[in-house]
Amino acid sequence: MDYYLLTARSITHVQQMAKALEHTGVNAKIRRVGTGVTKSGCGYTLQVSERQYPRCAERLRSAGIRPVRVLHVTGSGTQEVPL
Amino acid sequence: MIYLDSAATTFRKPQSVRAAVLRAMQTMSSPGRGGYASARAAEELLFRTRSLAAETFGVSSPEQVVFTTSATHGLNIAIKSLVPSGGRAIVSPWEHNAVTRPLHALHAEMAVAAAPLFDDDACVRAFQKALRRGADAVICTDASNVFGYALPIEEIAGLCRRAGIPLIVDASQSAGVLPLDMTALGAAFAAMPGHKGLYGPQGTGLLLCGAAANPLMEGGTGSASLAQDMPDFLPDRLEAGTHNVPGIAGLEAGLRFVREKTPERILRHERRLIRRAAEGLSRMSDVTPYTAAEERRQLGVLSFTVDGESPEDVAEALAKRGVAVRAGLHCAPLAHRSGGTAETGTVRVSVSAFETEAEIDGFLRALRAALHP
Repeated sequence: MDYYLLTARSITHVQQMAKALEHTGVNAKIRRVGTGVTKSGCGYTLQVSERQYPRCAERLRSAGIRPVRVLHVTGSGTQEVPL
Repeated sequence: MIYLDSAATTFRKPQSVRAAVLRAMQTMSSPGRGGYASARAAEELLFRTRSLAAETFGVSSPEQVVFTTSATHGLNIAIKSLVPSGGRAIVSPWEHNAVTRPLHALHAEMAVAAAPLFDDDACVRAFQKALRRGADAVICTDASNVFGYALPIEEIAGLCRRAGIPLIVDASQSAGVLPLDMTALGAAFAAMPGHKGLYGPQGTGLLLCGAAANPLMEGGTGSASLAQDMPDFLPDRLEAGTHNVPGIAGLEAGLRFVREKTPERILRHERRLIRRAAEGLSRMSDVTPYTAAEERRQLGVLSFTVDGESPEDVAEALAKRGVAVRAGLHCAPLAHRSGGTAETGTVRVSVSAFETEAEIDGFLRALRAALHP
């Protein structure tokens, strides 16, 4: 299953993103991730399905909350994409 | 015991606060350190509390709400972030040692905006005058911990904004009873304890950040762990080490208690008690209470002196009769110098949402009995 990972600078940042997505129908999951994803050590991401990502991105843009990076994870690999 | 020392700590806490502390100890571990249920529960608690504080105090983002161990901790961060060694700070005449000692340690010039007690116009004029010479920061208590004087903080904040000088607000005595809106004030920082008017446990506090800050401590944050510098983002930059999770759980419950009861109602109650105490003290010929002519200028804190008696002796005599008050300089020698009470200090009576008129009457009876056995 393909999905998007929205990396956060901190647990508070990822919680803010998750909060902004409440009541939008987007099913976002907070996940702890390591250096492989963050490049800076322990961190947090928000995982969102490919189908729900457009709605998620729109909501975060309108709330003025930007993830550090957005990674598109597919069967063929991981690619950084703009929000 | 009749407890009249809430300016130090609100000793009586809502049942919800005690329950929250216990629940946190039973169900929560370290936030930001794991993906398992107890870590998640702690993380959710911290975010809820930050969000609640941000909403309560007009902070634009929960990331700008930093957990501290006390108002003193927050003030140290704020002052040391803004005032360089040998810098210049303008302070009100009613500041606590939590402000003056960090400035002293920085060898900073401390310009006191001197004005008489309870005189708003003179207070604003004094800040206006002091600001002409510029400063690295203005540090002002929202209310005196000795006299309960609620300073005209909105006017002072306006002066600071116009002068382009950052303002640090010490909300130790006002948080929970006076409105505080960081966005409206445009303050750089506001520091407050969790264990006074917010009814949380001791060892908790909040620093509301409207400006860049430097950490007092370095250590683990559960984020950006490869870097050896502290993270450059809030709140992690200022929160090294494991949080006081049970304390923060109590603080969240305390904040909810205040919001439910409303600061306006709590303040009205406290003012009614203080007025009753002041009236009773005024009827004792050898007692001098320090009260504001305008009620809106005084919170639930009242100082008094007794002719020919040391405040400590009075407090001791009251303690023997089951009344808890605080005597001396209240860690605020500057405030006592400004109020003309530095030589002996005062006896301080302070109340919370839980004290009653009957307890004020009990205190007055105990004082009369102590002074005129």
